Amino acid sequence: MKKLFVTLGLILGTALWIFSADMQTAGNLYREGKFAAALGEYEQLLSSYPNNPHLYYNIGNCYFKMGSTGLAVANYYRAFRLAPRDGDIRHNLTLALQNAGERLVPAGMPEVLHKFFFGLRTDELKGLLFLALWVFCSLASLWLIKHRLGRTAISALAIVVLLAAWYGWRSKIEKVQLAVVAAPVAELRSGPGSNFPASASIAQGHLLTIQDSKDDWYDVVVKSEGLQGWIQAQSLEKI
Amino acid sequence: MFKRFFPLFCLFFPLAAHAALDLNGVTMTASVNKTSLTTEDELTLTVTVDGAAGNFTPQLPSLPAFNVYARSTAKQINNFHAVSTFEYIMLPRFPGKAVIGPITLEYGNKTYKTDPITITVYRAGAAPKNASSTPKPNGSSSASSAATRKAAPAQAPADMPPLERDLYNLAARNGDKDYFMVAAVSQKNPYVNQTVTLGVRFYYSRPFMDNAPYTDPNISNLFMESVSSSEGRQTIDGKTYGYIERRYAVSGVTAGQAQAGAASVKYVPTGSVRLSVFDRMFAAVSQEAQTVKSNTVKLNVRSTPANGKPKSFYGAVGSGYSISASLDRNEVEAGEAVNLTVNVNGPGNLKPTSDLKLPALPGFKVYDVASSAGTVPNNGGLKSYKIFKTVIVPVSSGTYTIPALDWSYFDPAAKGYRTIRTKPLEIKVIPSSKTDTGFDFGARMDLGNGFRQLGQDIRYLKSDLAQDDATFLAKLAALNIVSYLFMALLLFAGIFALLDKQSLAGKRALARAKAQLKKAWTEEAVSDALDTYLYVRYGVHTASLPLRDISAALKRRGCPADLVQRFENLWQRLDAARFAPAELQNQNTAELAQLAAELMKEMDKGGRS
Repeated sequence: MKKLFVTLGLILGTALWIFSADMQTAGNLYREGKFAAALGEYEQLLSSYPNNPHLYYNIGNCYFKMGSTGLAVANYYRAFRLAPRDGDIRHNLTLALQNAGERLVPAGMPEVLHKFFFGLRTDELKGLLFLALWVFCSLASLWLIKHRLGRTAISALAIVVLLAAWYGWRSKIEKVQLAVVAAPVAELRSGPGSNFPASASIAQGHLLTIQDSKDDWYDVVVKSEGLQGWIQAQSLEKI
Repeated sequence: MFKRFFPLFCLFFPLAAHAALDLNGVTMTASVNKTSLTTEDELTLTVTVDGAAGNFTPQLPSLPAFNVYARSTAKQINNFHAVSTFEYIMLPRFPGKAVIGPITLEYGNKTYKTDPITITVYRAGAAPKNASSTPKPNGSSSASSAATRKAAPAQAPADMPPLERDLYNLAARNGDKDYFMVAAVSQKNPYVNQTVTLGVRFYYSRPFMDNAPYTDPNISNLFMESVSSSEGRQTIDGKTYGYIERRYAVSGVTAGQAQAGAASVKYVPTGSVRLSVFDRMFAAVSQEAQTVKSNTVKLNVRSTPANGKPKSFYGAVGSGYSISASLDRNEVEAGEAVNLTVNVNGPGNLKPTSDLKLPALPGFKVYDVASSAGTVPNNGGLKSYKIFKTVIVPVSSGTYTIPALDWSYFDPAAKGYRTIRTKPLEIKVIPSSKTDTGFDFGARMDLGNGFRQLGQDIRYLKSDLAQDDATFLAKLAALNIVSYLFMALLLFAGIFALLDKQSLAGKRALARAKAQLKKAWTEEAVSDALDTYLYVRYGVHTASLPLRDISAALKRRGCPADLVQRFENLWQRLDAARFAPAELQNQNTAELAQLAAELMKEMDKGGRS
């Protein structure tokens, strides 16, 4: 058993060293201005470490430096969902969105409130909701059986309701299929085909919500402009 | 240094220049000043060689129908571009159709050929067919030779074209003058914008000074453009005249009367003696200048018929028009400009016609059409062209077809409108690769305290991978089962509370009453504890109610009769203790409290509401 642990430890250590070396190689390429090469390295790492916010962040940086604001926004957004309290990710996402004429914090909303609202990941929020629910269940049961700590149980219930609303809202937001314009310019058409007239052209980096799809066309809404129409799938990057 | 390189420069410059001249290739064209003439008229054949340098001469084909009696060569070099012009003056030998075959040029190991030219030659009365020279304005030799020719018929041959015939006949009426002018048009009732030919001839039978100013005819309601100038001869009443002919393309501007006024020539006769070069240069003659004028030519300009006039009719009149359209690119990005060019060519005068109106082109932003028109001489006539140019900008990607563009003209020969159209053009538009917005790193801002923001950029890379992101809260989120357990607990507590509500209430009431009894030192306190218990346990208030009503209420709520009886006994003793102090010594508060506790305990065990 002892030998097994030692072997596993060695394997894990070696793997970590290899991946750390890869991060360093990619970082060197980025520093030398070889953004495309660095991007390739980071994407290879991502296949080994899926859903790692730092990798998404670095990939976003590479795309941004290569002038692909749309793909940069998509990757920053993925990183933001995974690590919403990371200041670097928030900063770069804000900047990339600004570059595309979009905003991370909706107009009129204090940034503090936005930071608070997105301060916890959805799974963390769910965990907090569970914790509050367990406390409430305990207190309510105690009150029902022993008729004690009734007011505390009511306070716990209020917290559970608030957390449930918060979690529900966040889940609703995350259930919306977001996409970003990845092509330099995408065209919004009145139907799913290039034979339908184009009503607007949208620069890369703009955020869209996908409502429907047909073949390789998506029915999208551009919230920032209040536009709706169909865009070819290859012009978009789903987030 | 200069001395060393100058000879080299001198050596290589001609070679370099020769090479530069050859860069653009060689073209050769041949043209004649008229395609129909009489046997007495001169024909000028012009061969132009463009882009060839050095010594060369085009090879004329066999010309059995013509006598070539003069030739000249002119060469010009502008900006390393050479143009050589060879002129041949010929006299036709026989009436009928004559063909000038292809003229060839051997240059740079290549052979260049011109197109054949067909000439129609008409008979000119009894004039000698083998004339070897043409009269020169200042050449007495030609005049003397002309005098030997026979008289021409009074009327022109019937197969002569109308213009030549009219000029011929008008001239025939002036056989008694040495100098005169005549003018005629090819058609007197043209349509608006229909091009007809105005011919003006200055006839002379005696020489005159070289410097003879010519004045163009004044025009009214006409558009006029000079087409060509030529020389010829005509015999009138046995006297040979030389003439200088000018031709104009004229077209009516509006319907109604139009007029080409008199053209004039101011000349100085030199008598019958040929002047020396010195005399001609210094005008050492005693004669005074004289002026001759041509007749006025009137035209009745007709408007084109209103019936059947198509929308695409822009005013062109004639026949043999052609139209073509082209794009400078067939594949562009959205938002990029494409030049659409429509070219109309034809025999008439296209300058006064209005501009082409483009149809709506969905998917394109279309700018205004700009046009340019011009004329080029074409075998003694005039060929017009009009070029319409516009810029179209595709606003979105896709494959578009620019539809055929219609263009109509009125054909006077057929007396009807004809419509020609371009071929549809296809253009592929790919999405634009240009981003609308740029990133401003130069947003400078003074932040105060000596700091100045120079711009903004993204933050640097993360140098390591993010650690395990399963925080404490995230781990809790995975414990769904625990949540279910807690909810089950709550559910059980609720069910328990619902099922044993009375029991629980009774226990609570008993507990409270016991607590009160512990502190009870008076009968009133015992009464209060009992009252509290009955209220919590049975929901019965004892306050201000007669004992009878309290007992009845307890029985209704399910309290057993023996316990009601015991309650009545106890309640009476308590009343006595509270309201009959005389009997106080007989009452023991502790005993009453004991009885009350026992009664409540019994009620708790057996009583159900």
